[in-house]
Amino acid sequence: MNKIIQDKFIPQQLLYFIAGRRCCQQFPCTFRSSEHEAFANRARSLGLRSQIVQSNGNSCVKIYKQACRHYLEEPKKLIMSPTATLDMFTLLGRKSFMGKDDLELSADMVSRKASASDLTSLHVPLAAIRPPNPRLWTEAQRNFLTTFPGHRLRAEIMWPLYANRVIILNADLSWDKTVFLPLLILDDCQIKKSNARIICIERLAIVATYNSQRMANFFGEQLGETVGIQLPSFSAVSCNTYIIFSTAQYFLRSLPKQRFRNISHLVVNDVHLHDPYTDLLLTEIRLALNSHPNLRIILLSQMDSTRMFTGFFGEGSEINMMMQPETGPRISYLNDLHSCIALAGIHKGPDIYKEIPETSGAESQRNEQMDQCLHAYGELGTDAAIRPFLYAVNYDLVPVNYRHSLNGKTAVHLASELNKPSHLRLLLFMGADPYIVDLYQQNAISLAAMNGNHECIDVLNNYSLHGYVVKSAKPDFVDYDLIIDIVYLLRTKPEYPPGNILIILPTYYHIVKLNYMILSHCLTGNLQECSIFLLHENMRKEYIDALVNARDDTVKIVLTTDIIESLSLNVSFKYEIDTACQLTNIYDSISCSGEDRYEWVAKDCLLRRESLLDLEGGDAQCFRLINKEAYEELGEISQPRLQTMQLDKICLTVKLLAPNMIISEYMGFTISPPPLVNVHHAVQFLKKIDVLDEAEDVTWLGCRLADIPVPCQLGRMLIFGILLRCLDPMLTIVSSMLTADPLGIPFTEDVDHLWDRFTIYIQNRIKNERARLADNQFSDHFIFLRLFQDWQHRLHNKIPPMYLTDEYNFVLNGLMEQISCIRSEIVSSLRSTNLIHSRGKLSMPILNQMSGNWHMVKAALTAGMYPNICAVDVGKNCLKSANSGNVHLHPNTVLRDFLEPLEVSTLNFRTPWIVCNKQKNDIIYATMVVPLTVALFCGPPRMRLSQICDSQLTASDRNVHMFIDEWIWMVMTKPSAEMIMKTRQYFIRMYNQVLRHCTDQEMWRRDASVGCHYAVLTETLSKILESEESSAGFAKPPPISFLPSTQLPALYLLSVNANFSWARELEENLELQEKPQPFNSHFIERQFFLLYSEGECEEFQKNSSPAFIESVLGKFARPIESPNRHIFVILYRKDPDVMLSISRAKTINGSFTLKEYYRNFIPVFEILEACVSLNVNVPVFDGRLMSCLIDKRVGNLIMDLFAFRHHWIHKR
Amino acid sequence: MFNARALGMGPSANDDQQLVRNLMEVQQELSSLLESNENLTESRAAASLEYQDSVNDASSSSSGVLSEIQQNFRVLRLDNSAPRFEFHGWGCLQQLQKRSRQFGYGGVPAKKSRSGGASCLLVTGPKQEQLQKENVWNQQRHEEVKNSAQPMSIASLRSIGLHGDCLEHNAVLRVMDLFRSLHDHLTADLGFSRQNSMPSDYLFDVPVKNSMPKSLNVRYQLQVLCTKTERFLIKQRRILETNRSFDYEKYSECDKLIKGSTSYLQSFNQFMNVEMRHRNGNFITQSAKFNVQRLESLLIGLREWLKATHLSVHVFNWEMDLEHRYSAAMTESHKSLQERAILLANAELQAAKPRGITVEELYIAKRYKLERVMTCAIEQDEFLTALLAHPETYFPPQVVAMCGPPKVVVDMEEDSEEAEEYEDNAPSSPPRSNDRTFFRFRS
Amino acid sequence: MDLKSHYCKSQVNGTISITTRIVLNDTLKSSLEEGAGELYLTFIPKRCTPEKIAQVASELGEIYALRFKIDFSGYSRGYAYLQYVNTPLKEAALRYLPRRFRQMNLPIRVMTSENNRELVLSRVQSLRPWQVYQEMRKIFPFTILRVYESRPTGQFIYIFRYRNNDTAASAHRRIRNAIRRFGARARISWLCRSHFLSGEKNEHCCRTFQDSLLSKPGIGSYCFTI
Repeated sequence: MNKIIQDKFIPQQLLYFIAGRRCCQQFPCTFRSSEHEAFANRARSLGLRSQIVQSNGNSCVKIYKQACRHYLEEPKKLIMSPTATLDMFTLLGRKSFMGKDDLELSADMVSRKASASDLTSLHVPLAAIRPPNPRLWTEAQRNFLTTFPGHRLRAEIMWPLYANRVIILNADLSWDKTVFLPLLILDDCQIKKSNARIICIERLAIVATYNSQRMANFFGEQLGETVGIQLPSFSAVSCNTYIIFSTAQYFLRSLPKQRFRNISHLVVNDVHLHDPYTDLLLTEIRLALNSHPNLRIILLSQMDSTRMFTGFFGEGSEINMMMQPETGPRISYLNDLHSCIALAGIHKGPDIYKEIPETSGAESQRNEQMDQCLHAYGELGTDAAIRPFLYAVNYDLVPVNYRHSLNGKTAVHLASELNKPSHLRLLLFMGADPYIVDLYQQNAISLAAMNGNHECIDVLNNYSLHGYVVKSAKPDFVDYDLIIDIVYLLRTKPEYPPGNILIILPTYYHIVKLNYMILSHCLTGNLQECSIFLLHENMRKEYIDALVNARDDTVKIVLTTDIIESLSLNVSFKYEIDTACQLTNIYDSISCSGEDRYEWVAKDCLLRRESLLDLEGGDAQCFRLINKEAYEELGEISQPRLQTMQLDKICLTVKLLAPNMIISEYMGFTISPPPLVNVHHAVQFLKKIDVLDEAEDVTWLGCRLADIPVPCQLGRMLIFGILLRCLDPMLTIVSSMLTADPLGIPFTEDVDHLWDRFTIYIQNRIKNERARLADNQFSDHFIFLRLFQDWQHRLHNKIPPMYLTDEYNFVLNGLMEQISCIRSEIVSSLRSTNLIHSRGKLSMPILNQMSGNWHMVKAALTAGMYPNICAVDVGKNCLKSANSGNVHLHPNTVLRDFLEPLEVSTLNFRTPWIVCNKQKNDIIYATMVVPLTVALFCGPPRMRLSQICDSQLTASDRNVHMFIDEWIWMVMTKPSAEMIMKTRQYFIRMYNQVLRHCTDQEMWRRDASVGCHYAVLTETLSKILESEESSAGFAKPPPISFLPSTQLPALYLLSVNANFSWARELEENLELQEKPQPFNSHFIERQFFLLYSEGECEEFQKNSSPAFIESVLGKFARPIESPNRHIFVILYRKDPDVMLSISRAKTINGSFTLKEYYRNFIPVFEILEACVSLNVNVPVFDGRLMSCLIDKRVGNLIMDLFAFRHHWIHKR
Repeated sequence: MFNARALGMGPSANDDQQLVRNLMEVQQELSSLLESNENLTESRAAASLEYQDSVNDASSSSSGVLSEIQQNFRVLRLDNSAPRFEFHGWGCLQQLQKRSRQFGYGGVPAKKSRSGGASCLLVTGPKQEQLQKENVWNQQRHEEVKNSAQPMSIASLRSIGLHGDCLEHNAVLRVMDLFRSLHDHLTADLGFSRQNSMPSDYLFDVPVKNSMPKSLNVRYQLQVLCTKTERFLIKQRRILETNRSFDYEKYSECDKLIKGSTSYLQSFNQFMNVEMRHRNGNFITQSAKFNVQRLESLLIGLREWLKATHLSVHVFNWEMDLEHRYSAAMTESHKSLQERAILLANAELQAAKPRGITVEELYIAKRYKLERVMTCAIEQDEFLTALLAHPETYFPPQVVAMCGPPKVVVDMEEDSEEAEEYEDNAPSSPPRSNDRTFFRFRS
Repeated sequence: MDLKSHYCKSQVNGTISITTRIVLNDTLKSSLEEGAGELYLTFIPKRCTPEKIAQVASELGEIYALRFKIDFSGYSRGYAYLQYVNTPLKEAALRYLPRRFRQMNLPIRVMTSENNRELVLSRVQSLRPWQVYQEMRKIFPFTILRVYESRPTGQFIYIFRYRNNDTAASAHRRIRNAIRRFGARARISWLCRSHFLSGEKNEHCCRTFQDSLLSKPGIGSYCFTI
């Protein structure tokens, strides 16, 4: 029998395996060691690799194909440094730790199941339902009600509501449905004296807040009386409350306890958007209709056909109030826009920087290499010769239009010269521009023609017939310049009457960036002044208030994300610029990771956005930054998020809603069932990180993560931050991961046209900045900390100053505002989960004891990021990770340099282990960690030495092999292994205790006995890790100071925009100009004064009293100041000669005051150069006079120089 | 001190320095009142700092405040509902302070001491003592270890309850491990060939149904195991019987194995009513310890027998399947699979050899000093090859269309010819997929 | 007694209030709102519900409001505030309620509420008193601002008085979040009731700021009020 097994069965199984799709396979533990040998031998002869692993105390054989990334060539060595050994020994020897652990070891043997019922209820149950007291509407209220477009159709809406349990109302945004319908229903209930409690579900918390406040204002009450709100951040409800606003996510959270008790009507807004939580809510509603026969469901949508919903519920009726307007707005597509702008002849001010030679001599090694690549291709022209260049474009962010620094040729030039049509096409696909001319004034077309390369000419002819470049055909390219051009068109050309402009952008980052650009064009005066407002998902309510309460007589430019589709604002828009793209995180089941992808939105979405325009005034126009052809090919309806997103948080929610149901089964019942493979992956992932246990039940960790508003993995990082007492840095890292990276290395697409010839230079500068911040710590996560800390220090804890310096600074402030906003949101959610207490052992100061210790932060990072760990396999020269596939380092990380092969990078690496964030298969953020950290914090929480160690085979050996999970494989000495496992057990005990008992505040009092050893444990761990890292060769990290109570300024962008807003200036001058006269700023004349300052701006402002300003400036400037003549003051300094700032001077309330516009350092020689290049008379700045009037053209030029400073190019 | 002096010397003392000092103390007291959270030294330093600041800025006074208010009266927009604004000059504060001292409710320095003390006294008396003792003990341990030449001698490991051999020394847990391992064996699936059709990611590991009960009761675990084993053996027996007719020799070999395993079950019966209780992992009686030792060796024996039984029966059945029960078509497909696998295996062998650098690449690298970039390109060899071969697959259709002929609406017939020609040029591209857009991502 | 028909229960963040449905006249209402006759209940067991306390308390007379503090799990934070419509009932309640609670085996203690409603703002940088006044109105409405000049530092101490303890508490939270508007070192804290600056007892020194004063700038007055 044994012979058959070894000679026949095993080879056959291996052949099956080869023919199959798997890259590796673990065979069952049933095989014995003699069969293991047979496996190994056979596998070798078939070109496969094999390994004997230990899983659950059984040794099994594992077979790998060559391409499999789970195979480590050899076990990674773990050698603990003597000091670390000693420290760990001392820790384990502590009397207080000893003797208790025996039963602890069996924690996995005792049921520790948690369930939804263990979750704390976040609010008290709703009071019993009652009919509302009849009340009479006041005159004002009645009038208000009639302003709703649906007011006339009251009866038509109410009738179906009596007849059906479910109705779907389709009407556009102007109906203001979530305010109108509850009022209608409440009114009806008052008359009929029927029970009423209406829950209004909004998609976003900010919308719920805004709408509830509006409705409370309608009643003339505070929130919490007739109108209530239930959100994680704020809740106010009383037994007299008849209308409660909430979000789907939060409502679902309270469902396990509340069910649908004491609710008469449930109004769900924006069902057409298929927000994932709304979709889950619909499933719950469908279930609830069985047990609550009197529940009435009102679904609100803005979609023409909603058969889908009636089909889903199997009942209900549809009220369609969507009306096709007879005349829609005029719509322009990308195709027409360029010519339209070219024809209009927009004057945007001088292009000083156009004249600056490229990279101004700052040749980098990267430039040299790229020149060589082009050179090689130009001489050889083969496939092999173009490879290095293709590599550099695809993997190293080199712009495809890279020009040779000597002859100015690009790859496209060479391809058409060499007659390589296939290369030419590929380069064009990649976005190359054939119209660029080289130093001999030839472009790709003329080169092809010159050499008679007909195939290439054909390709290029076809290309030119399309009339635009590839760049603008991509959804991930937001053309800021074009938007600015359109804004100029609308604001300066008389054929476009003034009106509010709505600009829809994909993300917050784009909003901030565009905000700077518009602001700076407004300040330099080329663009008429206007007020800028921002709307996005994470904003504070002040942002909406500012927009709604803004004066009517100003032109408003509103920058918004797609939140505008659900916000019913009382602002009419005449123009709309729609980038038509969105950023979605798409789960990729092949690489098992999410990927941020820019995509075009669907047609229905564009139509909804179009309907936001106010057609009353006529002439409304919509600019879509998408080709007509691409538009035609868009899908009709957007795909529900549930079907593409990463489902970890959704799966957890589902499990809490339906603890007795298999998640994938539940998901199959939703209105937009996601692909099964995504659900399966999500569940497996949650099991892996201990959010669900093997039987798919929620663990305590899962219970706690349910309330933290971040993805499960990031939530887990926070938990480890708490356990290892370094919460603050973890908060910074987690919130940074949730926002855009201010130091992400830009693509050509991200650099605007003024600077796109500097792409390589800017990339190099940013890369250097990253390296500086990382400070040889081999960590990108460290950069987040340093950046945040640097920024805080720079501000000295003040509000960011209101003047502008450059775009980077502005964007940084904007992003940091977002980060601090997310941080505080996370902290309050941690408080409400009871993971942070106000006093005792889980209070903030205690949880931050180790916050200054980078080693501990790294440990928390490792534990939290597991299983996202890679290992460098030096022999094979590649990276291995738990997810198979080709993983490589993106040039973004500090672990590698530009154009550096892995082979070279690894020479510097201190350890083989890398904790990383991936986008698909690229590692964008990485941190190197020592093997000990991996051994201590990775792997499943329940783990025993005997289950993972290969001890039988090597009884005499001093070393032991350890299999932490299915691929992390280490070898270490036996005593080390035992000590590590024991330390793990202590740590896991703490993990379990904190997660399980954190709700019991009494238990964590300062003097309580629970957890009094945790301080010792964390302290020793930090010592151990520190000595381990220094022995591994890591440099001593620079101190990361942490400020105990950081009150970071919020609302920076709001205040900047308000500071420079025209409306406010008018208000300040109310008595000067009795009536604000509308005048065209094109007739505005500007006068510039130079003012000499001894020191920097700060000093100047400190030392100059109003009297001083008056004496040196006021008396000259005041007589010539008028509403049409603006006075500007430029501050300058000698030795070195620099311009420091430019301010607008104004007489406000009788005193002459300066409002700083820009502050920066502009060397005088640069001004002189610019003057020469633009043929302006060169002024003299000799500092003999305290102040002097300078030529207007020079003044304008200096102002432009201030406005277009680029952080990375003009950095001193 | 301040009180005594102030009262003792009274207002008659017109020493300027004294006055300044007095004022400073009042200031300190005030600030310590207001910031009980801060420790004293800091507030003192801060106070003196503030003091220095203000010397320069002596102009501020109550009249200044008043005139400011007058100036900005309009801005303040006071109406009936506006909150009241009271201003009290320095004299007022002083007076109040004096009076309060007379009435006896002046300084509340009690807070100060509490906040100062509490932060360093986190633990209370007896606990503190215990910790101190512990520290002494730890210190000693530490020194012991330091002194010994070999840091991790077995003896020192013993002292912290470790053994240095990576073996489980607790009998209960050892038995539990055995139980777990046996459960794994009973649920092991040897028909794993069907997993091959799935892509292997660890995420796709089939969920294991290892339903070992969560209990530390040895006897209970044994009972569960016995039932499960019995059922397992019955299943094996059933499989075996279906193959009895094909090969008697092999049948009897397997039969022996099943019988052997079953005999273990009988020997377990004796444990059903013997003492095996333990508390916190330590057996209570000597007999319990002995019983468990016996049980352990039996379980190890059973495990080996079960392995052999399972494997033999499965392979026997598999072989008979192949030889006797497969239809012609099945055999055929099996054969083709076999052939394909061998081909793949050859490819696999090829792949095992690392891709070297070609002569041309070597030339380019040397000639143009592009060693690093070339190495990079070789690292991404697969992708670059595919990109060069079939660029159309990597770009969205509208981008690909840009280099194709434009859509001409007028003359359909004339144009169609050209289009066909064009398609001939790009024959062997794999089907385009729309979801594979840009291969680059953005940060 | 039927609590539900007599009283209205509401929750705002961490406070559950049970308030009377009786319509009161304005003067009584405003004096109650300012905290007249407020009692402080402490040592409330974790699982004790506000209804239970209201039930017991209403045995004595009509409750104006019970403000019951809860933690994130929805359980008692250990204390509550109680007011009767008939404020003199306070004295009776101080005697009666503890006894009643003891009978029910509840360890709740009852005492007079301090109704602490004053906050101290100090170490303001660069803002002048009138600016502080204006800024603070934007953040949270208060009733009185008392500014004390403290020499020789030339700093000012700002004491804000609020309508009642509850509003002061929410003001405290709001100000803490916006504290950086008053400079990097600014602090907001509660003013202890026993502090000599607490309470309004210094009207004697203040002169009303009137239009007449406005016309005569630079008057050497020490204290004034507007």
